[in-house]
Amino acid sequence: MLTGAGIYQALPLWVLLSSLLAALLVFLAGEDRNRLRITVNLAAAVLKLLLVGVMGYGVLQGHTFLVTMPILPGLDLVLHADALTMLFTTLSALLWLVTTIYAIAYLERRPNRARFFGFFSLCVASTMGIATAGNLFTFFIFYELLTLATWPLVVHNGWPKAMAVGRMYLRYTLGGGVVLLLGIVWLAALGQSGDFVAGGTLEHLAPEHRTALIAIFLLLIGGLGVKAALVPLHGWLPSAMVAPAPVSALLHAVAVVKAGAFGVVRVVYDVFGTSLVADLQMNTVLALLASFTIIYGSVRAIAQTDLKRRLAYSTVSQVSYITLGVALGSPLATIGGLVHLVHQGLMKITLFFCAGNYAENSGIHSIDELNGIGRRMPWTTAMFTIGAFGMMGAPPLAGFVSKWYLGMGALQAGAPWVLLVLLGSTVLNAIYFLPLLHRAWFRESGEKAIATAGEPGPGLLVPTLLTGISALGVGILAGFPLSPLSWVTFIVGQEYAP
Amino acid sequence: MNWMLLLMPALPLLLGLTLGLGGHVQAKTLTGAGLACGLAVVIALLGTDGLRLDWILLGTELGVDGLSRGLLLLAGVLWGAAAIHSRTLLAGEDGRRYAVFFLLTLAGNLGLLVARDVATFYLGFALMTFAAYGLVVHSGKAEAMRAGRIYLILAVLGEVLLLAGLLMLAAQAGNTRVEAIGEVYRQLPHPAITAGLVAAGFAVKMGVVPLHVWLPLAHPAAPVPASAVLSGIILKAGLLGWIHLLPLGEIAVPALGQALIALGLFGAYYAALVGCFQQRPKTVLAYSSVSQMGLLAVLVGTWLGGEGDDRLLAVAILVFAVHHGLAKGLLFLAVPMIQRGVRPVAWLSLLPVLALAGFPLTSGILAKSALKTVAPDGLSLLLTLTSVTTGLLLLRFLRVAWPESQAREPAGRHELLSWLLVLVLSLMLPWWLATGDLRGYSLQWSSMVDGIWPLALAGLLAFVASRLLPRWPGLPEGDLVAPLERRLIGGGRWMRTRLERWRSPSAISTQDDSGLPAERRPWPEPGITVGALLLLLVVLGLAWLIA
Amino acid sequence: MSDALLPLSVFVPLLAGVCVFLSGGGARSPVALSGVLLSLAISLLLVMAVGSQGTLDHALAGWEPPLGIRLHADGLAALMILLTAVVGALVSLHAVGQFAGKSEIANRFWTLWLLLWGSLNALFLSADLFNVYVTLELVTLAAIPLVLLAGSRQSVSASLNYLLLALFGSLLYLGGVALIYGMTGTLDLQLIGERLPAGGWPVGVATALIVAGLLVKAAIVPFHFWLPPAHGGAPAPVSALLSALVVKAAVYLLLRLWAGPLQLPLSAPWVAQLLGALGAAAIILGSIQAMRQPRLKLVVAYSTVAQLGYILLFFPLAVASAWQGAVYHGLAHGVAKAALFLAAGNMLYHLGHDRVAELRGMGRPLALSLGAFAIASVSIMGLPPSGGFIAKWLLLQSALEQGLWWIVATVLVGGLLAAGYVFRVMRYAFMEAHAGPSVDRAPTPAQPLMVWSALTLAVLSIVLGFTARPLLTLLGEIPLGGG
Repeated sequence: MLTGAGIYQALPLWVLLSSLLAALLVFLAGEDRNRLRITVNLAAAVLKLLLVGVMGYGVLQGHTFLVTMPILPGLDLVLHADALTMLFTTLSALLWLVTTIYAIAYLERRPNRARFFGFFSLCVASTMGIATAGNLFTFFIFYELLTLATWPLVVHNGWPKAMAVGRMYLRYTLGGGVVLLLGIVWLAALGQSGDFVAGGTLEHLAPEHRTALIAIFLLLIGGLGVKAALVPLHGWLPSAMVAPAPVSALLHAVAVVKAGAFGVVRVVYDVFGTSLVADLQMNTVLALLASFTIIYGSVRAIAQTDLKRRLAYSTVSQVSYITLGVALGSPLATIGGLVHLVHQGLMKITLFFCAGNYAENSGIHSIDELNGIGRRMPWTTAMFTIGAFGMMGAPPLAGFVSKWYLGMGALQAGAPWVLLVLLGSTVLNAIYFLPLLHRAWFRESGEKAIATAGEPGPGLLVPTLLTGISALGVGILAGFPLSPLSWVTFIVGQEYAP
Repeated sequence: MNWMLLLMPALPLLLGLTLGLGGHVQAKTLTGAGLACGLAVVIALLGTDGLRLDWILLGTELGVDGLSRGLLLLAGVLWGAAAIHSRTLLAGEDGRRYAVFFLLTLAGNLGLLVARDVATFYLGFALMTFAAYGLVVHSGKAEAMRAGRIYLILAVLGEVLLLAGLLMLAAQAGNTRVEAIGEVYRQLPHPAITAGLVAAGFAVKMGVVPLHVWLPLAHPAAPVPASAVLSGIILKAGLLGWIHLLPLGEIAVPALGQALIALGLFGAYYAALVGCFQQRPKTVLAYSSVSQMGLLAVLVGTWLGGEGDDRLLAVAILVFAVHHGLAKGLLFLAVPMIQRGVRPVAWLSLLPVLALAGFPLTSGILAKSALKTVAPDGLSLLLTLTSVTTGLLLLRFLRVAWPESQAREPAGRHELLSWLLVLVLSLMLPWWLATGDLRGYSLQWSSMVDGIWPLALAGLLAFVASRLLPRWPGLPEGDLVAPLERRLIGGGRWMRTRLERWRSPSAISTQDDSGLPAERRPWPEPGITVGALLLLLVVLGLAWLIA
Repeated sequence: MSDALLPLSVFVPLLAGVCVFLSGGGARSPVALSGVLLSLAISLLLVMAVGSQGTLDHALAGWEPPLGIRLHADGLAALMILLTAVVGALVSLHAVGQFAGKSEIANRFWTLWLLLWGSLNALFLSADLFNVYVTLELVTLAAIPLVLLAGSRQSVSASLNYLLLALFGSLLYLGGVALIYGMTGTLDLQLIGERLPAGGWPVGVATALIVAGLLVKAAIVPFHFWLPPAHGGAPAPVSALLSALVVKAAVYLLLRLWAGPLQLPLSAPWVAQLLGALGAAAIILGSIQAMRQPRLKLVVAYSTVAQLGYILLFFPLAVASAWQGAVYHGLAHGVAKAALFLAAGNMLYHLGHDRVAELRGMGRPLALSLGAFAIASVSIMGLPPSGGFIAKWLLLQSALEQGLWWIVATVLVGGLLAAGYVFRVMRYAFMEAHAGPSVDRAPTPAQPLMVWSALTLAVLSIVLGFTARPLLTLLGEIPLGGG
């Protein structure tokens, strides 16, 4: 049974298990075995990265990894690895490692670390499951697991406010899960397994079940839209920033919103297929929804005075770029949307790390406390600057590449109005980010800045630097053969090949 | 040789990024900037093959052509002088920060000068634009902050318009090379729209009226060397943008060309007249820049309209740009010395003043002749008459800048050195760059006369006016922006009351620490917010129209 | 040979119970445990036999019906026996810890529990209506004294209520059986199916009486009020057994009768709809009640009321996937609910109370029990990956296939409501607490056996999410068309 080839073939499973087992070990090790926990965490993160690397190489060689486990007749648990999977797993595996380092430093000498890191690993395991899921059923399993694994992280601080937010989070996400489930089961009731196959599998149903397909599409998108924070399902996201900084980073950049966005990608490309979506005229609906979210999130971000809250609304806006790219459906727009999956992750995690550094090191939570902090924490502020400019889409940062392709794609798809959305969003981004940079670099030092001794310790600073520089690097080296952009181009080439 | 094309912008870029680490600010900055400027001059003089870097950005291509070599020379000279001039600033408080932004601006500027593809050009342009903000607000005074804010608003506006245009180009042919731009325009269904967006995007940088309002605010607020490069070379980046990214000489876009000519001419007069009612020398100079850029806009508009000879136009634009850059840079560098009463500098400064006014034998007459050789026939008189307003403006400059008393303190060594360097070069470079025909034409008698009589007329007018007006009236700096700003802030207050309740709908407020009741918590940046909302409305309206 | 397993699986537990009762002093516990082990082994063997040979039949003492007693094991019965064995064995482990040092109570518990086990197996294997009645009575009579083990005044009144209601239910059932015997002259399930008239009011009345009796015993809304005090008041292992197995027995009979002689009357549209509606009402009302309970064990008990409703949703659906879903829900709920009760029992054991609002900060001392509670809750909420999810999926799919939207809505809303009461408990574990949870007496940490048995059950409820295929194969086809 367990031949070498079999083990290799089952790589997606090992990737999943590497963090699942880490979670188990962390839970069992208990609160007091600090060193063991750190070792397990880091070892698992590195191991996963290696496994993902091997898997990525395999996929690049044209190998298709597939693990199937029958659950019910006609209903299988399928883990697979295609190029799209690799995009998401690589991002998650990398950022998990970085976030683990950050979290270890951030939570030093705080209570309940075993619980935190246990759920943290579980959260990443779910993300891996989402990335490697080979059909909607499997996707749903991990999608719900993700909800369950993140709730303890969101309420980790245990403050009354955190508990209230936790309740809100559950209402949104479990509600979304129910809607998603309904869509998936409905599809199953039509005899469709919901397998992820490039180009979709439902086209033949269109003549007969048109209305049902539209309803299912809307249900699926509605369920996924909660995590992808599509307006009006976004309400949980800005509130969820009461969680500790590493959790926010995880929620916003790696796991939760990405899971939603990734799901949208899967549904549009691999379940329905772009042509069917266009045939049902759902692409316009989705594009309008995403556009509205982009603008709405940005406008709301302007009005926030709390740093993390502003960043959270920025996420609402930015994540919808992915949906927008997918909705437009032209090859270039798809490249833009997919590459933003990675780029937004890098930029937003940097921003949240910086916000965490400010809060942890100087007690800065609100925007007007940022005055002059650039003098005391130049590195953190420099990374914040990179993240902010990236969000605005300034070259050569990651966000520019995304925006560039999205813009081209919009024109290619014959939707020039999207250009206005993109540019409007750029302006709005400038409006809510540039004043922060201005304060941090150019204003007289405020109270909090004066009281700050310097940069935080390496545990917090190094991850920030790594992600910040990556956000710069993936932009500057966008033409490099292994850059996210090249990888996404490869994926899209497959999608549109036939 | 061609690796220098990458090294030149990369050097100040990396230096600027790593300067935060520590190290000797002055030494590093001066070395880095000096080397970069040296490379610029070398490349400008010797020329080089292009360089392709597929891995960088969206496939980067660097290279130079005749026009960019000329501008590169200008950049090398002005930035070098500015770096030397910056020595004292670098030693001062926040010197490290200044150095970082100085180097980044330099990197962006040099980068865009050698960029041969759309994305890289945009990269350099954006880097330069945003880094220059750090120079504008460097002093930290309220005035600088306001100037910076308005600069930034317009810069972002420009970037966005530009990006829209570039995306339209890119959608047609990916990351287009500069050489192929005309081809791409030919394929576009509506080239005029794209060209319009590109033109408008760069017009902000060029200070085309009414997008000029940031200039008279930013120049006086910025430190002296920063003002010098701002007016001398950074504005010219917009010009290069026009030349690289508009289909000049490839396809004619008459409507747009005429619009540029009209706005340029209007700006040339309007800015000069507004400048006459300013109180501070650097503001007056800034208005002069707006006015002169208007003339360049006329040239580009002519070209875009499909009139005139390509080669002549290119030469005219180059000569005009280099002449103006050097002369204006000189005057900016001289202002503090003149104001402190360094008489020799003041007297020598008459040279660039006369040059700007187009006096015979100066580089100005060259520029003016170039302008006339290529300008559309009907505009000849109008263009000549701009010399009158320019003359008036320069007289106003001398009036507000001229020292009242003897030198209280001598000029600094570096200050003087950098100034003299540019002075010498300003006397030679434009002549060297001009074609023989142009040189000959400029030295003709009729040209000489054309150079003198407007100045005489200006002097007469100034004399009469100063007799008639016992108290010289003043206009606010940034003319149009002042009332607009008031409206925006007022509107912001009104909007705040409307939006306050909408702001935090969730029961879970996260901002309870301030202790203020919700309606009294400060609304951040009201003017900006209102601006955003207005813009949003416009965007949505446009979206509705198109869709 | 293997059909001998049928009587063995009934008599081994019964005999073991008697042995425990008779043995004295320190020998009881070992005797009880070996009884449990033996019963477990026989049950598993039986299940394997059914798995390999299909149905098994055994006529007791060689007397064939209608005179003798016939035991019949099909897939459905095998699954229930398996559930009883697995849950029973793990609960027994828990009981070892729970009743350590209380030999008097332990003695009674082991005796009664082994009797209960035997009766349950007998009930699952019975092939005639009267034996079903007898075994149902035996189950009830073994269960009620188990409730009394708690020894508190509330538990006495709760068990009295339970007794009265159970007797009432039995009477109704017996009336129905009598009517059917009058019509067909036989009690054998298979023979009844062949002889029962296709219509007529006597059939209707008999069906109504039998169904009503079983609904009372299964504590389906509106007859649910006896359950929470009884289940909530009993000691934890007892609560687990009652919720996981005993009420299931009554619901099992409903399914058994639908699959057997009463398929025709039970498939009448209005009957099916009514049963479904009762199930839906149970889901909604039970969940809402669970959200409002001040005590943890009552929360769990009301959750049982709600969860039983899902099985009734089978009747209006009545297709293969719904059949599988309903049975699988029975299994999943049994395992998960046992885990919940054991975990809740551990908290009660540790703190001396189970008032939900005072559990803040229990995360540290009670981490593993809480973990068990959390994991089992996943199945209760019907979230993946768990047995509860598979059951829900099957029910949803069959409802969607038939366009029964009210069932779809009920199932989905039921899941959300379950999340409501589960997270109401879970949040206390996460609230910031400077001290541990409040205690009524010096805390007595639960023994590892108690903790791990709960945890194992909880993990099993997740494992059920991956074992649907073999188990549903064992269950076999939906028995359509009587007999």
